[in-house]
Amino acid sequence: MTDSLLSIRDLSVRFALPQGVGVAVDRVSFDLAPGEVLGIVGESGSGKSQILFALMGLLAANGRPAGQALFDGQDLLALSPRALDQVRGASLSMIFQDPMTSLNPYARVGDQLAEGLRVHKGFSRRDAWDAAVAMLDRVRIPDAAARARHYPHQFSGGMRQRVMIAMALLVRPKLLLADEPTTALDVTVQAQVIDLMAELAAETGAATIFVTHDLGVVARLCDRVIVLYGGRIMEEGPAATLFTTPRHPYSIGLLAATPRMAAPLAPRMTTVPGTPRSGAGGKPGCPFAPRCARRIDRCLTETPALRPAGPAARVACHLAEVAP
Amino acid sequence: MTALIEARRLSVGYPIPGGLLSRPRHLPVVHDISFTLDAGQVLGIVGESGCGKSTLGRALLRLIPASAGQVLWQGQDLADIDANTLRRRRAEVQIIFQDPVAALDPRMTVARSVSRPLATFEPGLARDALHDRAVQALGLVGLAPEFAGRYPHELSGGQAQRVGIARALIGGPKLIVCDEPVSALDVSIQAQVVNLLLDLRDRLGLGLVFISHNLAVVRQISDRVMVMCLGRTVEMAPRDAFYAGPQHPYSRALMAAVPEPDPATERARLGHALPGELPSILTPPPGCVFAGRCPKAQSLCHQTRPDLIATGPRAVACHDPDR
Repeated sequence: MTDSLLSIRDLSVRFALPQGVGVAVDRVSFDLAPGEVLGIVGESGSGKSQILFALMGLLAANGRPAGQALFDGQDLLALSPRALDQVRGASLSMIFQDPMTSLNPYARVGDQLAEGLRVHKGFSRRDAWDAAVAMLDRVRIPDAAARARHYPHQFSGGMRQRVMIAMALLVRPKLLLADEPTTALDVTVQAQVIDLMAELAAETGAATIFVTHDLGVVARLCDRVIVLYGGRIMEEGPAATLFTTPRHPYSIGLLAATPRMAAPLAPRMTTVPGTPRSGAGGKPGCPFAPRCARRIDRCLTETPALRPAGPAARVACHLAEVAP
Repeated sequence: MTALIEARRLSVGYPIPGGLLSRPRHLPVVHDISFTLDAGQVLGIVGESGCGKSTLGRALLRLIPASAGQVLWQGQDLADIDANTLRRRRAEVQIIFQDPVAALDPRMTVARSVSRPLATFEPGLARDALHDRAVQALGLVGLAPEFAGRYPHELSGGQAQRVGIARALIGGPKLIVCDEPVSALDVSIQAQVVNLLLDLRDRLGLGLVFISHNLAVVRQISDRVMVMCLGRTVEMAPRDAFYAGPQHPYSRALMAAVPEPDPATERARLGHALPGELPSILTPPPGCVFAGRCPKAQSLCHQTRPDLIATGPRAVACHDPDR
């Protein structure tokens, strides 16, 4: 695909651990079009955040990426630290789950925002400050000119996340990576932040990868969804069809286990038996096989390939090949 | 029949130490909460951060003293029970916490953590008896005997929460206060733990106070729902009536904000978030706690706090409830 903004091929992330090598992400490939909003959903240990950390060059010291991540024609995984610095902050931004620990507690919010423009876009101090204030106003921080002089601890959790979004989008990135940005927020504040991200993505044309464990958030915000388990893509497709007609037993199980307020009540919740495993990628067989009720012998020995399954959809399941 | 637990106009606050120029103060966090709960029943308490739901949960166990009002365990006022008796009677009312791994001592085996409360509740038990009781309690939560010798770091989040529940069960409680017990768990594990709590309610006739910010989970487990906002009850209702038609605008706003895994519904909700943030508990408004964000607030709502008015099994604190 030549019109992709981001093209990831066989991305793996391995960690050197005392007991051996842990594979957090296992040969993941996908494309992202300019302006597209992609959701990556998965439970703890699925490797969803490690994909973003690998793209940003932020893996822990014992982590190593492999494969290729072509962004705007450059392989992010092959860039020198200095070259990657030029990309990050200029056309690639990231927001994190906990805004308090990603903001500098000793610096005024306005200065933290302005820094990106001064370093990457050559703005003067004055212009950068004005742009920062305008952006804070845009993310609906009340009395932005005065608030820009405040420190992070003087903001509420929801406001801090809006400051992070303002900071990430101020440089007009082509790609925004968001790692569980609303998980720490109350639902009413989460709704505001999701609205804001949707508005700003449309306004700036930034493509977004939104990593979350919350299927509901993906349903609200994302065009396309990737379901990740044990470091591998289980299923990928348009949000509109994946949520209504999931094909992979894991996606089916995850959707069934998510409580809905609109659905009829059963005496007990639907469960997925077993426990998610982490760092166990790279072994033969489907990572979900130990928990899968429809498992056949082949699932334990042969890793299913991710194959096309309907319009713009792919699924990695031996059973989907036989009985769609 | 005497209720398992009853809160009567319970208020709880925290002392704020004074500074150089300020006197020590009392910060009220929970105001005037009343409810009763019978055996085998589940009361769901929902609210956003800072609404006082966890403080209320701790006050029900008298881990924090009440500043006004009463908590009655099976008809007896907690404040009338001396410290020694209270320690024994804690076997009856137990608590489980949000972070299941942090709630366990990392240096203790599962069996030791689980049987530890028996040192207080049934002192003098032999080591073998303690181990047997621990294995028995683990069985109740669906963990095989081999878990007895494991350490917390060898457990997944779901398994650690089961251990926490086993520890709460070992003294034979009548009531368990569950403080966000599934919030830290993955979706597929969350459903397993909710079902376990429902099974225990049925098998042991347990009463549960289920504190959560997640309205969809609360619907699965509760018989009655109480919505808290800034330390006050704004609505209380039987589960089905509540979810079919919440009467307080705050309850309605909370429900609309919970994202459901349904793109058609969710796309329609995008762009309709309720603006504003809840006021700080340090500076509560004189009127209704929700007036600042309420789409239908009148001047009365900003001036006068509405009382919690009961109509049949439901109660709502709103000058103009949705009926």
